Amino acid sequence: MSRGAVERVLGVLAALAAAALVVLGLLVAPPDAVQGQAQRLMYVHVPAAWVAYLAFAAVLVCSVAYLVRRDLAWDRRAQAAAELGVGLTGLAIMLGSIWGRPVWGVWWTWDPRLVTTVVLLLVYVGYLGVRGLAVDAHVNARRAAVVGVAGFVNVPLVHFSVVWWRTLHQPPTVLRPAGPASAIEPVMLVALLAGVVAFTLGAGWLYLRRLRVLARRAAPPPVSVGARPVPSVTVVRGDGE
Amino acid sequence: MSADGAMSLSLECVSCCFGPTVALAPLTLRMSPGTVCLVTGANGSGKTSLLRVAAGVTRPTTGSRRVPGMAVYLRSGDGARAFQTPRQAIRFVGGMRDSPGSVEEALALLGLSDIADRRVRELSAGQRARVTLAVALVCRPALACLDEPTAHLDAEGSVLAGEVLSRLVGDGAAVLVATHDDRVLGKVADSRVHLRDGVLQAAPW
Amino acid sequence: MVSVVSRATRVALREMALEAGAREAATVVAPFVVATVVLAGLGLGPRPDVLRSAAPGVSWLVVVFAAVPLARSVAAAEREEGCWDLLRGLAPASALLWGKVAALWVWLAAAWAVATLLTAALFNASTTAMGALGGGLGALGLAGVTVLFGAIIGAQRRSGMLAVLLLPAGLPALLAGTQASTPGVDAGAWIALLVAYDLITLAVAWAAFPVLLEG
Repeated sequence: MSRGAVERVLGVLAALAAAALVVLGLLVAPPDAVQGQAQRLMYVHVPAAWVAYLAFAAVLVCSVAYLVRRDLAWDRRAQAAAELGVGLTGLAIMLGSIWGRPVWGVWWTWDPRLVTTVVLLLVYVGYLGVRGLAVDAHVNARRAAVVGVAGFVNVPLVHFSVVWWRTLHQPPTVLRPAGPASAIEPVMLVALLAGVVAFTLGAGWLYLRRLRVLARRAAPPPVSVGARPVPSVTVVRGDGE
Repeated sequence: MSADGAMSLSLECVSCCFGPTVALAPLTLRMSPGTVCLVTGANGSGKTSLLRVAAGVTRPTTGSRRVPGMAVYLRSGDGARAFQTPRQAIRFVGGMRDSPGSVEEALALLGLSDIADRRVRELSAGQRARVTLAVALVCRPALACLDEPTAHLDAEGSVLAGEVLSRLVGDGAAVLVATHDDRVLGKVADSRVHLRDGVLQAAPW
Repeated sequence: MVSVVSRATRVALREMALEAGAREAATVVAPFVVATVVLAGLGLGPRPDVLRSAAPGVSWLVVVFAAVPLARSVAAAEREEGCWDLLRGLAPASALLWGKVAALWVWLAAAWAVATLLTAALFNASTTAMGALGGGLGALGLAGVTVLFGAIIGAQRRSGMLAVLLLPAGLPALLAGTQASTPGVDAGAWIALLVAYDLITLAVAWAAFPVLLEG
């Protein structure tokens, strides 16, 4: 299948999954017994966060691949994934905040997952920011890859330090890891799955389109070796005298 | 002619582009040890790009570069921080290159002994150009790429620049010099190349 | 190995001599530390118990923020004064890295010490031996990331990006350093976390620094 065809199929599937998500999430699934209508935000918040983490993992893999291979195609893959990740992380944080306000009464809580997600957002904003610094695409790619790797390895440490910090002060726990499937109604689970599928497919579609644009923009160097004879000079002792 | 393996510099089909701008069209340049090559050309003709690519501080867009040993790129005035003294700057270089003995000699050769303990920022442009030459000397590089080494230098200074080139060559270095001043430096040059709009002109041009 | 250590020492000594001559770090950081601590006292006060409990956090915030202007000494100042290309050719990457890290470690630890003394005086706070150990360890890891990101943002353009890169990377030092110097907290675990932070950041800096020095 050609690249364009893959893109079209992905786009159509993403649209279908999104339509299913709207129907399931807004109409079919019942409102939550405790949280009410606000809980429906879960069907978009969780998928956004999931795809964002996936994108950041892709940045790490592509950055390392660039550093090993020094091929700008890997750099473009890393850049497209980082852009996607930054956008979706911002979305996930915003949606989570809007969800948290009616349910917990606060816009924000110092939960390790929240803090780590914000740190990730900052790291990858920085990752995208260092790209415009140099003229040479390889120099930009190298710096970005270093930021991508250095930023990412720091994240587990950030997470653990916030976990410890929280246990130290014993604040009320407002975020619990999603319980096992038995705790969630089957129809809600189906709606959530539809959300995950829709976001993953939609993100894949955007990613391929962005890659295409980036590849088109990356003009090949305006010189070619072999078109004309290359002037050649060899300097040996006493040539000029 | 010596075998390719013994070259102090081999640039094979090297070019240098900044985005869509071609600073240096593909060229091949090889230098044997102990040679001086002058690079001439108008402003913007690609002299600095050639020197930076040769020294390895700018990545070539195409082609390959090989230098067996240390390469250094120095523009006139480079090589010392504003708040260092010439002696500090040159001693640091000598220490890094394990040639501390050559420090005082280099200072004396370039007439810097009297001002060796002033701060570089208090020196004139010509005096700084001499510090740069002393740094190049103490570096003992396999390849020295000197960008306009005689800029700001007086007549005596230009002669000293020629002397530095001879000493570098005596140590077995290859020296690539971008200059507009080939009256003095021409005397020690083994070869000259000319750049026009980034294209290497084979002599005679 | 010996040559890397001796060359790194030379790079570090060069940084010290430059500081002795230019007093760049001292004139930039010392007034910054004083101003921040005084303003933090006004912003957080006037209740003495609030000030006392905020003191370790204020000290560490000051140190993490001070890393941003200090990062200029890694590459930006070298580049401006025509020494970066020479340094890259002259020193092996590891010698350049460890020399710069050593110098920044000293500046950052000094910034922590000054900030802690100031909060002790102005906020009536006290620090512990474990707090001082945390100060040294946290400053070391922070010096590692400062050198790494300082080499990336070597030009004047977008120097504000340094803050975006450095502040999240300094978060573990801020958190663990603050807890380690908070009286009544079991500092052992936080010291262990700082050691892990140092090992990780220095290992990453060591692995990534040569990539940043390429032409």
